[in-house]
Amino acid sequence: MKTRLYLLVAVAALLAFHRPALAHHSFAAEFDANKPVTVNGTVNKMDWVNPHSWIYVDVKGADGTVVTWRFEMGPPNALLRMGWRKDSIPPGTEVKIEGYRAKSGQPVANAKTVTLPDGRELFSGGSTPPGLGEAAAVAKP
Amino acid sequence: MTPKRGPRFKAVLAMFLSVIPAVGQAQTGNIPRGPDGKPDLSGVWQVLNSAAWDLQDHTGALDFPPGQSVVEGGTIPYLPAAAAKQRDNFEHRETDDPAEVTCYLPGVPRATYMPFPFEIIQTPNVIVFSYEFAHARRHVFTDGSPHPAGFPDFWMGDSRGRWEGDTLVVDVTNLDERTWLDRAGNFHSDALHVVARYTPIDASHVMYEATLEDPKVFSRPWKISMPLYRRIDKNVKILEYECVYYLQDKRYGNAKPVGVPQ
Amino acid sequence: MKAVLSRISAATAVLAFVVTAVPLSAQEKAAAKYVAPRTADNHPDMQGAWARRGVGLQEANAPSTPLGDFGSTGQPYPTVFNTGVFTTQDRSVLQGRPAGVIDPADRVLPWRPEADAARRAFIPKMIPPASLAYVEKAARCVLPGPLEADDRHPYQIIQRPGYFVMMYEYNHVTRVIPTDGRAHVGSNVQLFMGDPVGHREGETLVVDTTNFNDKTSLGRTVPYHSDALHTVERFTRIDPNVLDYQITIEDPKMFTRPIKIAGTFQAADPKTELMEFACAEGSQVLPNVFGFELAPGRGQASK
Repeated sequence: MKTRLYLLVAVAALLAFHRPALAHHSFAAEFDANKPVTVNGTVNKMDWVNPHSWIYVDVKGADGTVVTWRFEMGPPNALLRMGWRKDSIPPGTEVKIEGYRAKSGQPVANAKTVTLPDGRELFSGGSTPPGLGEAAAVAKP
Repeated sequence: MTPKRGPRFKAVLAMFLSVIPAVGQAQTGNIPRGPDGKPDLSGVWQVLNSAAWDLQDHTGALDFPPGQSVVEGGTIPYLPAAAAKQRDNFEHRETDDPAEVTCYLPGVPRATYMPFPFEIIQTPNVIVFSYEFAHARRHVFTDGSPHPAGFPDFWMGDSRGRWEGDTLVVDVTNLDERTWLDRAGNFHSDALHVVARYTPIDASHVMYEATLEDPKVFSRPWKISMPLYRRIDKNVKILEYECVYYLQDKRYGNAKPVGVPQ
Repeated sequence: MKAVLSRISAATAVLAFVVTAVPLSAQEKAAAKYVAPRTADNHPDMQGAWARRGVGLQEANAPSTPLGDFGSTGQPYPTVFNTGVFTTQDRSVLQGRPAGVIDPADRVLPWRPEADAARRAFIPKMIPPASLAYVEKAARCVLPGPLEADDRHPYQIIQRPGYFVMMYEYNHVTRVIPTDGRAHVGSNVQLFMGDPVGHREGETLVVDTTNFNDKTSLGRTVPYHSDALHTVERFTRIDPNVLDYQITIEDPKMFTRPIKIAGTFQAADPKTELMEFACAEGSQVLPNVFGFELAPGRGQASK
């Protein structure tokens, strides 16, 4: 693996000093930073759409009922550039997803991390609130 | 500094003249070429047919111009089940046409024969197609790279091109199944594979041919062909047809919100 | 362009992006001597894949906005165009470089009082949106206008004799900027991205853009502008891997004088291919806000 220059920290600092005036639709409009959520389930399907990809996860409740959660992730281009491919998460894969719940209360959330059975984390590339995730702002190889 | 009339000056002059359309002069020959000798397709182009309404023979009707088929052999060779789906599409075209009704990106090859101009911007490694309709765009990579493996589908597909003599051959895959081929409900599946050929005839005309192959929908590959006409209007440029915005205004302009975005 | 990639520490990174206007250092003066190679028609060559950085309409004493602030801090996604933003080991050309609003220096934007009052009344009605007019423009996938493109996606510049073409991956925006001295289009042609005309001043490409409509947003605290908007951009290649960028925004119906913003375009991996970014086709915001689909067709919104 060749040495990479990751401007993660630099860009984090950049963003901290002058937040870009925009991103296409705001986290705060749809999701609640005070409602973190973690689900464990199996992948139902993935929608590779702009501006946000979506991953659908079937989650079995304590009473046995299955609820299909929908998680917003980054635009597919970002995911592709991070190495995701169409078959990266086939239906049936068990995943753990952490994110922030929709304000509507529906089983919809913005995904922060997606963890596969082997422990690998695939960053969602979706919007996360400012100040959250800064702890993770260390250069990764 | 190089001498004013040295080889560099002449090369620049030659390149400059090669991309200025010869308005009012004889249009035969004089195909503009780049420094590598390949035809230079740069410029603004548009079709002059009614293929956008229906690729096959069609009679005129209100708001529906007549036209002769651009399909080689006349008709599209649907598999029987697919032919039924096409008829169903046609009956519901006023609500279901993804480009005309929803203003989604029109896909390939439909983007070529929409009744709007498009601009080709040619460089050695990539030829960019910029369409006025919905500011659609696609990149035809001519650097020898293959279609990337494992990529999802795109509305405008993934295009890789190469030259065969004076013909640009473009191979298009990864086409989203939701696009239609025209307003008459002619359609395809996610197995569609298009091979398009652009052959300059003279400075202002390119012959465009596209072979469509889709074993889920058609019984065999079939081909369309039509001329592309260079738009030689003075200072011609691609403007904006922001179909989605106009449609949003029309549909939601007087509506009341019911909930927060999910 | 040769790449030398290296790790940098957090402290150095923070220093590298301090937002202050400082006099030209000796290093900057040395960097200013870089002269870009030429295209066939003798324009500075700025072609390549780039990451735009620092461009935004920051505002001191801005009204709070329920849209909140937004940033994917800490994740590799914002910076990755294949393998990360590509730069040289010597990053002195970026040090001390101002970014964002530089004039007015205190970032108190020169509002016309009535325009300021109007937008302060407008902003609270954006979440939840009181009607379509209050829906954030970017959420509708409206063309971004002069500022609001999403910089988490790369840009590509290609040049041909007589043309400087800027392609944004974001929302497949394409700006074909003629440099042949032609006039702007007629004033009754209004465009989301305006009508750009470019000319060369020494090492700088100057792009004058007029004919804006009033349907785009300039930022979270300036969610709209008037059709009197006029911008002047200046692109200068100051380093093999850096374009200096300035944009002056002028809207006499909103502001009493122009506002100047500075930023950079920094080289992305040269193998970067712009990919499709089909915005409206995947956006569910309006159907969710209003409770019905954009078009009555069957199953078009999702597969």
